[in-house]
Amino acid sequence: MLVLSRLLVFVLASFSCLHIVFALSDEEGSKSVDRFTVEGIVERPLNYPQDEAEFFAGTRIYTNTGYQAFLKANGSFVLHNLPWGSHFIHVVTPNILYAPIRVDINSKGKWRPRKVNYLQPSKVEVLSTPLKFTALGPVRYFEAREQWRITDLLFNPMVLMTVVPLGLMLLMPKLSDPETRREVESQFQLPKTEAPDLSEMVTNFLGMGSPSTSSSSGPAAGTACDARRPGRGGARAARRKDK
Amino acid sequence: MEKLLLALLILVSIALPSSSLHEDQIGKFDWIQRGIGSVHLAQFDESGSADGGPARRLVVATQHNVLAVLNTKNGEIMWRHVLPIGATGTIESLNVQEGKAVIVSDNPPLLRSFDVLSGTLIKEVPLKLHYKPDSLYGKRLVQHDSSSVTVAHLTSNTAEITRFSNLKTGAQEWQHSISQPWISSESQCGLTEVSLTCVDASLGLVLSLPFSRLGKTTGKEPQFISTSLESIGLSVAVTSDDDADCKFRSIPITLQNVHGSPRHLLITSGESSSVLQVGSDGSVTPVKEAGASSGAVSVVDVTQADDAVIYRALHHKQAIRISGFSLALGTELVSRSLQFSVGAEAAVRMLVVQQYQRRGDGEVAVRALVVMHDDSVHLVASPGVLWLREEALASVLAVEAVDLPIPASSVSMHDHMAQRAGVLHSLVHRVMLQGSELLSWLAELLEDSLSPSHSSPDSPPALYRDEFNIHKLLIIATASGKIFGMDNLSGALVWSEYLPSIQPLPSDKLLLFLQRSVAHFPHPPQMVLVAMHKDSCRGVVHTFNPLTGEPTGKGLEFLPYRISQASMLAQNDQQFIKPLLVVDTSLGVHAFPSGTELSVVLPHKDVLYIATRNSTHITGHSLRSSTKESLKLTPLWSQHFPPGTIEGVYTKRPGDKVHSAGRVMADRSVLYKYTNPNLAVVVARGLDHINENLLGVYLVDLVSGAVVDWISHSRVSGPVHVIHSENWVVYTYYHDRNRRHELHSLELFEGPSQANATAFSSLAGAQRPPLVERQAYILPFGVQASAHTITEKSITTKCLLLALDTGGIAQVARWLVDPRRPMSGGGPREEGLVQYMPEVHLPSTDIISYNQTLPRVSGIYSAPTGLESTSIVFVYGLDLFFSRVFPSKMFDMLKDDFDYVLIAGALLGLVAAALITRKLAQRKALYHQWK
Repeated sequence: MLVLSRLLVFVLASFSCLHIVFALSDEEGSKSVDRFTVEGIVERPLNYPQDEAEFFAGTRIYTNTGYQAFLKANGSFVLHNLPWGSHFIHVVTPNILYAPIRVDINSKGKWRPRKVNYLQPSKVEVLSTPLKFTALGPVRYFEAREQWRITDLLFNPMVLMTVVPLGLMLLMPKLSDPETRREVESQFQLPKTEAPDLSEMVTNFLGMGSPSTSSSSGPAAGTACDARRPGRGGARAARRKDK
Repeated sequence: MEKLLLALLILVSIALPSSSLHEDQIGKFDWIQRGIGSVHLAQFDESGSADGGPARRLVVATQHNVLAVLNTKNGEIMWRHVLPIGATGTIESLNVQEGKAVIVSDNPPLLRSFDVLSGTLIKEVPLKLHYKPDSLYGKRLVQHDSSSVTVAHLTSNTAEITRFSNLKTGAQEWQHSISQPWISSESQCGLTEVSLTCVDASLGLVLSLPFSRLGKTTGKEPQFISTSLESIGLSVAVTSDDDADCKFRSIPITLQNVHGSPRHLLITSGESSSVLQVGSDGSVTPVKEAGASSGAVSVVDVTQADDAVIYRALHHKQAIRISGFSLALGTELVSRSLQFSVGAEAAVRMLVVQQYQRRGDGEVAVRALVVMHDDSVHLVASPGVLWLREEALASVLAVEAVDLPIPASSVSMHDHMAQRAGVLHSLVHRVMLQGSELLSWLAELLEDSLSPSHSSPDSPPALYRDEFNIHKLLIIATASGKIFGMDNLSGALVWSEYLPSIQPLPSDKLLLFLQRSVAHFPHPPQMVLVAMHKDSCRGVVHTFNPLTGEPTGKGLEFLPYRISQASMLAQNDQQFIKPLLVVDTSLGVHAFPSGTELSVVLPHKDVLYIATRNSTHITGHSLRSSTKESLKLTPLWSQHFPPGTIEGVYTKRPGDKVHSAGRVMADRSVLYKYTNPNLAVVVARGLDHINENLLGVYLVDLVSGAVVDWISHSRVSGPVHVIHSENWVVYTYYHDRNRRHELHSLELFEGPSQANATAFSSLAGAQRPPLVERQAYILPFGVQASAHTITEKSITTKCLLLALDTGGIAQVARWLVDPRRPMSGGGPREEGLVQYMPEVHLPSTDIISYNQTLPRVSGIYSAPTGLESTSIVFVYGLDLFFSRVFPSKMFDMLKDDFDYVLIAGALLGLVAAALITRKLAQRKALYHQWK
């Protein structure tokens, strides 16, 4: 009943615009006027590369009611022998996505295209005629591989946490101008901490240093060594203690 | 709102594990074989060949409603159009000329012409009939040449003939309605250019109506010209008609059109056949051929009307000879005969010959397309078979994957391991065996390195199990009666066997059972095929070794009864063979192999139940009253399922495993699953009181007959696809009122406690009915076939596999259609569940067949491998598609893009750094000492 009333509304609505569709044989008064045709166009997007033969032989145009059409070279198609009722027309081609369109045909053969809405099937959003399928975009079937890039490694937080202090350690001694150094130091009066010597730490960690090194791991020893060779890295803490 | 939901879904799909492919993995795990189906019309496209050479393209139309163009060099499909299934899409005539392939199909008929090169539609003309073909649609014949199309409809007592001569507009030239008492939709008739010619076996006459007698006026009833069959030299073969309800009753005498000639017909009676030439006055004269009118089945091709040469293909066992016979000379043209042999002992069904001028000497050479009864398509030239297509694979009915044997060396080890004698002895034995294995492996390695061209490409690779048991043999049974063994990793055919006397069972099924696997060395594996005899419709059982295809035991056995159903028992006999229980149509029970009744069936008779079905009822039987003399069924219960016709009964897969017995709720309590192994889903269809479609879905315990749960869907139509596994059921259908495909999901739970944690009994008294969770979802696409993934231990989450009507195979995670997805947000949530959304959105990355479309899928087969993460998927239908899927990603294997170089580099770098710092530290220590 619901369908009937909806159809009635639709019949009234459809008188206003729409195409004239020829029925198969309405001559000589024979009443076999219940097969109709629907014409449409499939727009072939030029910005997605696709083989021509693949597009024309590989595109399928079908309805959920079991009818099928084929593409002409100009992109047009005709669905023949459709009975009255609703038909969902699907255009399926392997690499390009098209939205389906619903076509309602009344018993007189007039039809209108509608937007497909599976959630609210009774909601009517009439599309403009002629029936035209426009590409929504290429279909992405594959996930991109994660590529190894040097920037990924460099901007990794763990790497940043180790590299930045290291860089600072290297840069601090380079502020060789004594005045600026004094200025900086006066501004940042750092508490004197028992910071371990980096090179000492590595040696201890690897356990390969001579026993003498490991035994004399006091700050004084490190200071003496580093005072001799001021250019080396890791001497910042010791040097500060010198002052 | 919708967009928000979509965004949420996309987020979720990113967050949850998805197992989509990467672009470089194309063809790594999958292969596809395109098919066209069994060819019934074919013509060479001679437009593309320069100066009359051999045609480069071959246009074919098949019984699967496919129009395709094949490359004559290699038999590959250049393009194909798949027309709708059923009578609407049947291609009734094919005519190739000037680079155009013109077909007539559809109802009312449509004339379509396609460009042979690109497959583009050039023209589409509706052929306007004066009558309404819906009411009159009996048998339709179409005769079609370059200038006109003739359509004849045969119904009871009436033939409607219409001639269309203007193929641009589809205008009629004339139409006539002829009434004759002997005409029916089963009449054997052929349309020629000049006449409608029929043969009536009961009258013993060939009746011909020349179109020249059909005047422009329809007042006078035109008369048929009759010729007796005796004057043609044929007699009607008498066939016993005791199996009148057998599906394919043999027709005593047939009349067919001849490929290549609009004025000849082929009449076949039993083994003998004759070519008839129809004159424009309706006279029918047999063409006199030299000694080729009897014997094997032959098919004829007449290439030119004035200098006609009739080609016949005669087969003797596996050798086929095509000979040409000149009508003008009255002699056989020896230079134009072809000889070749084929793999199967099948008769020739169709022959299309092309004559062309050879480029070198200008002699007439011959090429022939030969279609056999096993649906294989051969292109033959004077050197022999140029190529071969096995089109039986386009109509696969049953698939079973068989594990391959492990190599002989490991077999010997396992064999010896079985018989232990003392700890020390077996230790020594083991060490010796493994030593010898190591030696043989080293020898093999050495041999490989010495001769790298050891495995030549033409020798088939040895069929042995690989490391993770992914390499298997697929046993494929097809509707034509051909069975194949196929390598699942390459798609190559290992063996094939043609059984000409079988046809599918009445439900359009063939049944395959693996009675003994390869695990029972030295016993060979054994498989059995259950089918029906072509002529008598009685049962046929074929026992064979699935690894080689060779018959074992009794081989092909013809049974004296018709088969109603067949099933395999879980218990085996002393020879490790699981017996097959066959129920015949009069409810007798038989065991295969015979003799296992006593040893296997009788000891278990108290726990064996058989449920049989007809179109409306399911009846449960027990084998309890069986005696030593005979197995007997005792009916226990019978159940009718409204609204009427039972469409399908879907049980779980035998040996369906459930890994965890319960599901953890949000409050950490456990909800136990209802895992009844005897549960089946029964789908019944019918009409309600206002003639709307009604669908009933029942969950039935097949042992006790109890209906556990049922749902009735009104205004719902099929096709219904059911997936039933563990404690859940998913089915899809089409909702008539809402005009959309929907998916219904059910999950059954026992509750917060289990009645019996170790075993399930269907007969354990009054049971609590299970809790049924249900939800419905909207599918934005139709479904052609469905299945679920199967893994070794069922630990991996199961995925649904749906063959979409768009042609893709989608892998749908089950959480997406879980019936416990909460309706409203807030509150504690179960793990892995997101809020309910009515529409199922499928990301295109979940299409495992990516951009390869499978237009007509009839089934999906899934099998476990040795890896828990991996399941193999075989999709059959018009095309064959194989792939591996990883429903929870590859959790037990390194990814294929694992960066070995980076890991090795980092390791080496660390070692180098350690060495360098050691050196530095030593130097520093030295400095320190010197200070």
